[in-house]
Amino acid sequence: MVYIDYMKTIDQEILVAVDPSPSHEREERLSTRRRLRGNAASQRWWKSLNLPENWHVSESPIQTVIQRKVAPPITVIDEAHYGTNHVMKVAASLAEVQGGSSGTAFVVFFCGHGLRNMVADRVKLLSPFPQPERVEIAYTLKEAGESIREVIAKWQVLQMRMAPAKPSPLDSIQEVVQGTQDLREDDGNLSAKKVATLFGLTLRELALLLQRTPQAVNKTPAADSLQDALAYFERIARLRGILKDDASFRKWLRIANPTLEGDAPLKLVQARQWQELADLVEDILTGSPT
Amino acid sequence: MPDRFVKELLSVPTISIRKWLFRAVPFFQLVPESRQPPLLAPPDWLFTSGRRNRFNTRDLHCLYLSEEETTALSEQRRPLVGQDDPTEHPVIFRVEVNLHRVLDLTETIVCMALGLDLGDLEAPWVKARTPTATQILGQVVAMRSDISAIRFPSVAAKESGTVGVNVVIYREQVASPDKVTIYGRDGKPAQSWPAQPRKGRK
Repeated sequence: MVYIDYMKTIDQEILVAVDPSPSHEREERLSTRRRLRGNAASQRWWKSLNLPENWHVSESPIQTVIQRKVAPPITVIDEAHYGTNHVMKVAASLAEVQGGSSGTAFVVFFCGHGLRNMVADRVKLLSPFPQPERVEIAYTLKEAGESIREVIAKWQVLQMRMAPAKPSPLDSIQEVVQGTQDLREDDGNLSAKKVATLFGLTLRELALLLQRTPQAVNKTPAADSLQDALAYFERIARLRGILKDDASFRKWLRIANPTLEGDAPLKLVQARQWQELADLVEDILTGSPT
Repeated sequence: MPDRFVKELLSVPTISIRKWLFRAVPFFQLVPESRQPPLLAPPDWLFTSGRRNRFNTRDLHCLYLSEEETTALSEQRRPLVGQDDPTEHPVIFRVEVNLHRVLDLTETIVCMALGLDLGDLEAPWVKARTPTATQILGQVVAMRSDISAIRFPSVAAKESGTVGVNVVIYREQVASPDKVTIYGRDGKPAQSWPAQPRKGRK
């Protein structure tokens, strides 16, 4: 499939949360048990998974992981590094990070034997997550490997199936649609080049957001296969209807917005939260209080 | 359906309101009289998108209005940060409401009875991944009570240094003798809720 070929060229990250300075007691425990990072055995283990070549494994202290605004496609939490109780405590923060990533991010907990027979503990662990079906709990290294392979596959399929923008009542108002006519080519298709220019993005930046190669987008910027994704940008661009000019629109995209908890709208664009931003624009145009 | 608030709503006091409410629509093309040529069919002024907002979860249809014109303007301006000179001036439209069971969250005693504080009322919701307390309250009000609207303080007015009040009206909860009417420029009612008095309702 063509899209899979695109995906192979874009680096994807599996982030393993680690404890950079474990206590002496925990260090001893880690040295005697199998673990996902930090020793020669773990390197061999990752190699044995035969992950797609563009998927890379990195590590980061858990405090850094939960401070991220946007989660990588897969975050792996090794309970051996932290203990079950601490993992429970950070679950809510991880859930927030997952939620901030348009719900496309997966989390894999490698819990050893900590939760094996406890349904209540699993419920407690999963309940903060807006999409618990995107959280896996593995108890053995074998299960962890299978879980990681499976969520990579699920993530790729979900990326392919990104839902088109929801219909809007403004779609039927001619002036609204005409207001973004300049983003279209003669055949009516939206052009990635024109969208990139309006949003103040390079074509490469937009291509990466669209999860395509810059070369492919440069070659066919108004391809049919890009239209569902570009439709979100067209919805957002409707805001120009009440702004002075395109420069004002680019300025709005880049200024911290109280409606977005102080984030700039462009941050939502970069986090691929396009539907949320398109909804906000429609609320602005129709005067809906926030 | 959450159980939170259900018990409290049975005993919490409600008020009646009969007044004009306002909304500022910046996109003047949405106003039929402004369009050239005029619309063949008038727009649905009382259109509700069913999208999430401060007091509703998805697919819960309601209308947000402000009690003061200045609040409606503050609400409209709030997300347009950094835009000192937008080209279009908003059109203010007025809605006459006559509602008999309204939950008034501008009253401290009501908030206390529901276990809500100012932080809950002003909590950001656009990026929230799980329903906020006010969204849950709206859901329970609309599904499990006979309350038709909620009055609440406007965050936008507060940020602009004034005090203002918004009202959210739940479409399916508006039943005769309650009425929500929008008037055209000719002074005649253009559209109203409920479209038909509902039978068998308290």
